[in-house]
Amino acid sequence: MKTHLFLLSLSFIFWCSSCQKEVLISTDAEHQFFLESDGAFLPVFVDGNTASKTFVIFLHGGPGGSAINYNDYDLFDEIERDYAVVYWDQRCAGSAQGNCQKSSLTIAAHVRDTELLIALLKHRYGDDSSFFLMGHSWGGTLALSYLLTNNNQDYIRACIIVDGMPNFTNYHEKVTALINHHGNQQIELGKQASKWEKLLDETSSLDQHTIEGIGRLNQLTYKAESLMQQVDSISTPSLSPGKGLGVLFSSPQNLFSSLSNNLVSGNAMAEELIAFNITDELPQLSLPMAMYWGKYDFVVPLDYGQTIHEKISATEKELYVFSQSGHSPMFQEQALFNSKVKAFLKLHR
Amino acid sequence: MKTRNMLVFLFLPFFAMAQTENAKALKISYYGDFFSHPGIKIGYELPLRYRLKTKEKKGVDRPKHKFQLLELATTFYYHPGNHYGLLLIPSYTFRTVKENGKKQDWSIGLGYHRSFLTGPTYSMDQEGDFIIQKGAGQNTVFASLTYAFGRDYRWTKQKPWAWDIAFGVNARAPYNSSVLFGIHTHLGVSYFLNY
Repeated sequence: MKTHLFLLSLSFIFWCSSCQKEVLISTDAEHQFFLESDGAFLPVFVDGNTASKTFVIFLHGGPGGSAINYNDYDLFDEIERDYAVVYWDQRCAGSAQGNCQKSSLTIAAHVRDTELLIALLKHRYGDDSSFFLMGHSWGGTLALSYLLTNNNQDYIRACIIVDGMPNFTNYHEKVTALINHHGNQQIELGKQASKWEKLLDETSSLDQHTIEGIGRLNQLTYKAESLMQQVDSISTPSLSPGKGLGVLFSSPQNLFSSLSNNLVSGNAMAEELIAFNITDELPQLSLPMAMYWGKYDFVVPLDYGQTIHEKISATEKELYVFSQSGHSPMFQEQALFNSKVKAFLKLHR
Repeated sequence: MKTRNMLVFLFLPFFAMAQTENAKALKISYYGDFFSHPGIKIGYELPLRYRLKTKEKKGVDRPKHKFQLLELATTFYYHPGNHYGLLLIPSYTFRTVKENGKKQDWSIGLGYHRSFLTGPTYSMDQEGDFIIQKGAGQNTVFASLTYAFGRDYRWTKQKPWAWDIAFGVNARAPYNSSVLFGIHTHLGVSYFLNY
């Protein structure tokens, strides 16, 4: 009898907890849900101050990266105090699940997913919510593509592009010039000279007309960034090993799915991205925009940020260069990055 | 007739086994998807073949009990913020138990994996309204290769118990447009039913 009562109470507690109504408006929200789009299950995490009714939608890099990764490292905790940050893993990316087909890995499908996500956020948090986009790297490219589709910029209060590309034109020349510039400087100073020489040799020998050549160049840009980190031009993120271990074992992310998705998405979208160019459409963008760039970004050189800044018709625009950052200022100059973002959000909310 | 002979041939070793070697076992384990996503695995072990192999070492005969077993197992685990997983896996195991009770297993499994997403899953219907999908998740085929080591106390202590620790690799398909590889671990005890 006692056992029966115990089991009954246990079931009741379980039932009650599973039926608990989610509190959507909070100053310290930690919400998780999924968006189903065309067979793909896309995880969405909304963290922070949903009571502010201001949502910063973070578009991760890649294609094939993960927004959960940025959340695991608590990069935007400072922003979450005042606003809600939306971490969303795109189709075939990070820990997204389901049946995402290779054929659906297009910029148009990603734009459609972003539209659906914003509609869903309105559905959950109310029509009075306001939305900001913050796109990093490929996420910046996606943000620009989204804003230039239909009348999407009407739904967005303002946008932050962090080291993202509006086109792939002359990518090889721009990247090679930057690597040569800093590489030769470092060789003259005798800092990691042999490594730089090797890097410069390989960079100049790459075939710029093949996807493999561009893919390899992309890998070399990260190598250049790590060399600049060793001479303290780029600050090294202070992420503790304990944190890394915690992320590895207790994160919603799945390390293997992230690796597999990254590989699949990157390869599937390479051809479309190499041909990508929306520079001529940039004057259509009239919403407030900020371009945040790392001075030593070899992956997406500052030149691209300057192009966006020059071409958009927005009257409220800002180009800010993080002097000790490479491709990821939110990791490399976290405190400064967050204060810049918060100031921008405060100005335009 | 042919089928009957074949069945007799296949199951003869099984019926011919002595009680200890023939013992079926119930097994309960902690299951760790990627080690740390906790779960529980309940299995039933059925010995199919048994062979006693004796090797002489330094003038002493060293017996080794060699088994081939079929394990039917069901597993439930939780990957926080990602999914609940349900596994139904029959696996075939090659086991060696030494005279001191040390045992080693190699198992291959092929079965069914069902995931249930950990949060409400929204999709847009044809009218443009959002609906919450019930039981959203994915059906996949699951294959695994597992190595285990532990102790079997049937011969050393004449007790119907064994334990083992296992590490394995697995693959799930389809997963997005590719295969998802993973690792898993078990820490379990077995109780031999008809020992």
